[in-house]
Order: sequence, then structure tokens, then C-alpha cells
Amino acid sequence: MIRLRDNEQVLLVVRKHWFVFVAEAFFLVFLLLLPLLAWFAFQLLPTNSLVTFDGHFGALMMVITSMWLLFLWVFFFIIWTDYYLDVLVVTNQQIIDVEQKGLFSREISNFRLDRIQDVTAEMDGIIQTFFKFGTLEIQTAGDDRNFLIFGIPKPFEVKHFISVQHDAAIERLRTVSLSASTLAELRDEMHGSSDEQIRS
Amino acid sequence: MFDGINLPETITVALDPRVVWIALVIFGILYAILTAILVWHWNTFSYSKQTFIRASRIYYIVSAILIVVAVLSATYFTL
Repeated sequence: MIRLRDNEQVLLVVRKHWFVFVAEAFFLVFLLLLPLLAWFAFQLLPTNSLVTFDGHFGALMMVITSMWLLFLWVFFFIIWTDYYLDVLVVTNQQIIDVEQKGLFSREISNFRLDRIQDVTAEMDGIIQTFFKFGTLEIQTAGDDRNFLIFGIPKPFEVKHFISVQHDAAIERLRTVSLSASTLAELRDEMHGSSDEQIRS
Repeated sequence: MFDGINLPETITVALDPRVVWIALVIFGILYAILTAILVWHWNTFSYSKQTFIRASRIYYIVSAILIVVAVLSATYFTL
């Protein structure tokens, strides 16, 4: 759950590209085939004539395979949870980057839109260009660290959106400061007119 | 005089069914703990209730099928 400030609205929620998830989970396919390979190995190797099993070997293999598949199933959902909980949220006031690192490590960073100094989008290589995902780097003012977010889908569009929101945030700040100065002028004028009224 | 070792032609391996059941129970406990951790994560950090329900439903159905297969196979092995 992400807590928002008063009058804060979520404008964009970006999750990592599906290719990132598939690439992370792809090795599970090979592990999935492992019991099948073991089964074939037992059948093909000459161990059958040397070692015999007392009991129903097929049933035992089925128990082991089921446990193996259950283990892979949990592992698959751990990877999915890691992928699903990683998110970049752009609101009308700030950017929130949630980074889930495994099951027991979670990092949430946020910075105001007006603090952004530079946004860089990058697509590198055939795969990223073909599947339209890449890296987004956001540089902030002051001593704040830069934000590198990998596997963002359509990074150039996200970059453009963030730039537009940054401009809007700066504009809002200017409006607020102008309003404050105008208020000060009005106050001075009012004080001046009341002084004149007292003198007259 | 040493006249060699007489190796049997075939080796017979036997496995006590209780070992299978103990392994299954230990695995089941570990699986339940991991499932509880996963569900806690979805429940606590999930951004959408609907996604949480959908994901957990798929997770439980496939898990139940595999557990049933494992238990039936272990029963068949015991008999």
C-alpha cells in the first residue's frame, strides 16, 4: 500500500515490462523438465539390470515429481510477487519508486516533481528495442541520489510524461509564489489605506 | 588364499513407506510456511484486491491438485 498526501492524485502507474518477468522465470522451464530427464535417464541407463527397486517405483517417482513441481510453483510465485510489487507511481506531486527485493527486502523512495533536474530514457540492444522497454534515469536536485529504474515499458513516453508533470509542478510553484507576493502587496496597500484613513 | 569378492548380480533397493510419508509431511509444513509468507505479502502490499484474489485462486487450485497427486501416489506406494 502506498500512502498519498492530501489532494494528491495518482496520474501514472508503471510496472516493469512483462519480458523482465519472463526472463527471470524462464529458467524454471528447464527445472520443470528435470524429473522427466531423470525418468528417461533411469530408463536408458543400464542401471535397470544392476539395481532393482523393491516397491512401486512409478508411485515413488510421482511423489517426488509432485513435490518438485510444488517447489517450483512456489518459486514461480515468489518471482511473480517480486515483479508485481515493483512499481513506479507518478502523482501530481511526487514520484514514488517501490522496489521489492526478494520476499524480505523492500525499498520505497519518493521525491517531489519539482526536484527533478533531468530525466533520461534509454533503450539498449535488440531485445529492448523490439519489445519496447528500457531504463529510466531520474536525476534530482541537491544531494538526493539518482534513480535508475530498469525494465520500464515505453521509456520515452514515460520520460515525456514525467517531463510534462515536472513543468506543471514548476508552474504551480510559480503561481503559488506569485500569489504570495500579490497577497503581500495587497496587505501593504491595505495597511497604507488604513493609515491614511486614521490620519484623515 | 584370496579368491575374489562375490558381488551379487543385482542390487535390490527397498524404501520404507514411512520415509516417504515423513518427507511428504516435512515438505508440506515448509510449503505451508512459504504459502503463508506469500499470502501475507499479497495481502499487505498488493495494489489491487482483485489481482490478489485472482493470483491466490490460481495458486491454491494448482497447489491443491499437486498435493492431491502427491498424497495419492504416496498412498499407492504404501499399499
